[in-house]
Amino acid sequence: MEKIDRRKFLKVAGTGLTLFFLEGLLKKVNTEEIQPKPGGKKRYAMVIDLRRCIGCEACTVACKVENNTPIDYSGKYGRKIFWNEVIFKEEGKYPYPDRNFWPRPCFHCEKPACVKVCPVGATYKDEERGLVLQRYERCIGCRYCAIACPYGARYFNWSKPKWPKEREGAFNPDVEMRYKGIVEKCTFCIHRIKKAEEKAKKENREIKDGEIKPACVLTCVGKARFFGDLNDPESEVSKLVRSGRAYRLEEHLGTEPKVFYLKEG
Amino acid sequence: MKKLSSGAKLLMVVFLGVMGWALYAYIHQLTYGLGVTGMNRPVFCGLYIVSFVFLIGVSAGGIAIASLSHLAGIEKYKDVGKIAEIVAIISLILAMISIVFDLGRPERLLNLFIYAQPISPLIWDIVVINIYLVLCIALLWSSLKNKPKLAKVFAYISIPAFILVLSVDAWIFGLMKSQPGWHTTILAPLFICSALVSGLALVILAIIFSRWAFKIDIADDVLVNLGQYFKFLLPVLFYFLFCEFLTTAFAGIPSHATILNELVSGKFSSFFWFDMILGIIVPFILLVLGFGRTVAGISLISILSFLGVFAERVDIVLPSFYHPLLITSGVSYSPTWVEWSLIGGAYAFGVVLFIISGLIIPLTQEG
Repeated sequence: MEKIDRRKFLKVAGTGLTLFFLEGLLKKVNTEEIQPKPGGKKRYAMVIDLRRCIGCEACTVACKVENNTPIDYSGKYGRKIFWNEVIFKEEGKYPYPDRNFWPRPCFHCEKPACVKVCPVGATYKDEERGLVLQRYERCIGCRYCAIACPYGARYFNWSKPKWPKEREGAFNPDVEMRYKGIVEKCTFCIHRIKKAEEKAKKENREIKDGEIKPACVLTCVGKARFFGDLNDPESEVSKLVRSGRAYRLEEHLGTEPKVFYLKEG
Repeated sequence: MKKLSSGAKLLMVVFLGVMGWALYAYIHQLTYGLGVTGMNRPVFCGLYIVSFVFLIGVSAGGIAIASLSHLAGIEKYKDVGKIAEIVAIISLILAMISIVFDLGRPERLLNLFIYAQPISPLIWDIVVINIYLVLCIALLWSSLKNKPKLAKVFAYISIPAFILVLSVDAWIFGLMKSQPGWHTTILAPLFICSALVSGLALVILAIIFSRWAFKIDIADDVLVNLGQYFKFLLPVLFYFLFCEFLTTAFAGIPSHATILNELVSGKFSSFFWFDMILGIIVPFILLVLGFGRTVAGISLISILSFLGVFAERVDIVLPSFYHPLLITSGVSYSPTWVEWSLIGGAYAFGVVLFIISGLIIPLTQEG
């Protein structure tokens, strides 16, 4: 066994202790920002548990099928359209490499950078549901929103969208088709949200927590994704978001994303 | 009607050909979408936007020289005024064309007016550019009608106008917190200074071109005197760039520092060192050594600093895209033939417009 000298022991113990206290000090998510807001409006959010996520990208595939996103045949990565994508990051070299991944839908920010820059209001915030959506018929294709989004969640139709032959005629009829020259992005499966709303209205009741499941949430093999209303303090997402494990990506930019990650460690 | 030198006639034919080719390229782009360009995610802007930013700068620089010629009231500067105004208007038109090239759905251009969102910097830009275009035309009109008092009024208004145009142009980029390479306060002053350099350079080159093409008489010492402004502008430009680079390098914030590395020793190092050495330092040394006293010397200085500012625009717009905050793989961009053809066509259109307006408009007092 390797001999541990005093200095090394102190170093390791010190780092461990510091990290232990920092964990408590650095409460990752600003409590103010996740408070339920009055007014009876919804504020849909997603929680992704990275301890459960295995990086299988089933969510990416499910999203492509659900939302009729095209297949790119040019072979260029930058021309592909994924409303949901798993970001992989490799760091370090053998023998201490590390590989992390984050499934990334649109973050549906509370203060979206993309909405601010759109010159024609094609990108807008749906205040009733807290979603950031796109009006395809208004978009002029300037891609300013795609530049302003810090998360790369916006995709431009560089060419006429194409699909394999088998896919033609088998599209999801609930999702509006897009065409060349406009920007598109994840909608948190707005069509599924609307269906649930209609159903609840017909049955004269409130939408239950966990009733709405976007395609990526439904398909997740590790049950790593949770979807619900942040304005309901008792919803599963609200409870998870309040836990010390929750954090968001590039939080310092102040966009207040509504997709939260639960850290692995 | 003035006589055109035979060389200029040949040039016109060649450039009309280039324009025809560009028209074909644009139809190609309209048919197949922006996929025919080299742009992709996350390099959402390319040559079109670099060219747009550059031309806005040239235009504003041109109008600064024009208003200077009106306000200084020196007789020999009068002839410079009209050429500077024509250069400014043409550059502005070319800038507007460049931005239309960049749109995914140009047929929806009117949406910008129907659904204008006042909070978007792009709308600010459209407003100030249009006001500015009207002002440029008013300035040219008043100097053509020989109304020095009115011209003086327009010249005074055009000073805040060109500062505003360039600042808004810079804010389109500088206000984006998602792009660390753009997100800096110095951008607006930097844009103003480099605009003055490129505008001055193009006005000097346009005067030399007009002497050759239209055989008009503008004295050498007018050119030499104009060139002296570089002595002041180039060091200020260098100072602004230095401020930015020092702040980034000293702080060493990774998202910002990677972009500086890309400039100094990465993909954009050739543009960076071209701008620094051949675009700023060499022209300045040439001026100090007195090479600016000859027309040949001043043309060389103008060409170098003009190209230097273009390289600087590339360095401002593009590198930031290569290091997005979240996307980690597959970043590449190189302009395709469509982009080169369209930009080439736009510039050819500019030269043709200049020759035509040189023929119609009496550039000097003698006509």
